[in-house]
Amino acid sequence: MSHDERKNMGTRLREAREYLGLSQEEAAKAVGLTRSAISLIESGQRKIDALELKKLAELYRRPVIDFTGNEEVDAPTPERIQHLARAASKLTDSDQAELLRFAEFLSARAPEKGSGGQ
Amino acid sequence: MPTSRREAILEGIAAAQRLHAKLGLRKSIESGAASHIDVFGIAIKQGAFLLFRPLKGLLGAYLGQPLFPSAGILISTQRDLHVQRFTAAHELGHMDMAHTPSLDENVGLWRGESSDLQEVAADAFASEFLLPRWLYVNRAAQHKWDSKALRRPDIVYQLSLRLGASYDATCWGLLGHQILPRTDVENLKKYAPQELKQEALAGRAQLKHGWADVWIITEGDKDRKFEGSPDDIIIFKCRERSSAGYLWDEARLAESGLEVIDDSRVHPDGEECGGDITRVLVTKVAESREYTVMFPERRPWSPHDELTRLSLVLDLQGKEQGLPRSARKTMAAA
Repeated sequence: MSHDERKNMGTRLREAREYLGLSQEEAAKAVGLTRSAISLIESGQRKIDALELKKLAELYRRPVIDFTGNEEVDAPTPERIQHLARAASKLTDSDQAELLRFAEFLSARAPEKGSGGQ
Repeated sequence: MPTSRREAILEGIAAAQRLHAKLGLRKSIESGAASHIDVFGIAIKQGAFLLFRPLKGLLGAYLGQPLFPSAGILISTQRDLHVQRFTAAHELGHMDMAHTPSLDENVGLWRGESSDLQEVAADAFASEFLLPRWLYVNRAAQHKWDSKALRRPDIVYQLSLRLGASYDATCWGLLGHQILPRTDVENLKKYAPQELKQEALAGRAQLKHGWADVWIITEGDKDRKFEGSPDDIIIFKCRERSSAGYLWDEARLAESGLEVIDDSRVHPDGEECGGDITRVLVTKVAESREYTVMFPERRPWSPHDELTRLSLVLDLQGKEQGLPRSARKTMAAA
């Protein structure tokens, strides 16, 4: 993996963590790393092994491919999200963006462990 | 499907009561096993993915069947904890009653009269789920508040804090559950929460902002857990048997992390000596976290001779942001 690819993965990991409102410390504790390791991974300065990536992806409720995929794929927007966008058309731009991001998150999210929706 | 407003309300109430029974909530709270209705934890247990994000116009949204394969509840971080709780209960109602996805700019009391029966049912669900009659009875019995006491706005404000609801919602619950007649509830509604907070403070401290609350903690709150915000003012008002040499040990409050900003004693009917007095300790906290308070009443010269002890947990973390705290606890333990 090139430095740029690692940096790109680090950025996606940081965005996924921040979306859930988790601190670096909380993420580190949950996956058994140090806070500085999370910080270095997110800035692309530390390599991440497959097991660590799997744990972080599970924590952030995302499939691993969300972090390893090369370029953003221009996939067609699912019909359900288009439907939601129409329903949300009267909302402010920022609320629409939040809602569509949540809808995409729900659609893509990795199956959780244990009981309950979280 | 309900065909009238009345049917929608009855459907919402019945669904909330079924979920209470399924979860054994009443028994848990009345036995003391649970301290409050943890609506966020319950939504997660029922299968929703719950997230708090900075929505500006929306209070919340429910996404689920048939458009989405799994249920998701999104709640705004721009309102305080009791609005977040009511909104979560409203979205949980949509999920429980298998409603279609819903975007909610207003819920419950903030909505007014809605003609959308799905929304009416979800509001009725939320009110019954968070403010059932038995919870009013439980909280009032704990403090020995009878119907005369519940006519006092200062008492109803304190009750609202212990129910995790707004003052307005608490007043309407007193009417809806026929605990008080309409004229008494309308009288209670003449008082604004801001006015009641200032009355509770009695000039002994200042609130950082209008959303902060003023808790009056008494011996009736023993062994309870409360949820508030780090900007709240906590006032301990406890009967002190000083004539027998027993004093509340304020140093233990400081050890629990509370800062005592005012300490006074109120004598009954203005008497200067004799009889039991009321110790009034005004406290605040410096950071957002959970505080375990151990507050003993004892003789200063004999610290092991405790007459009584007021133990309680103050969860002063305020509103939720990102993943709910209950999910973070599970995450850290995994």
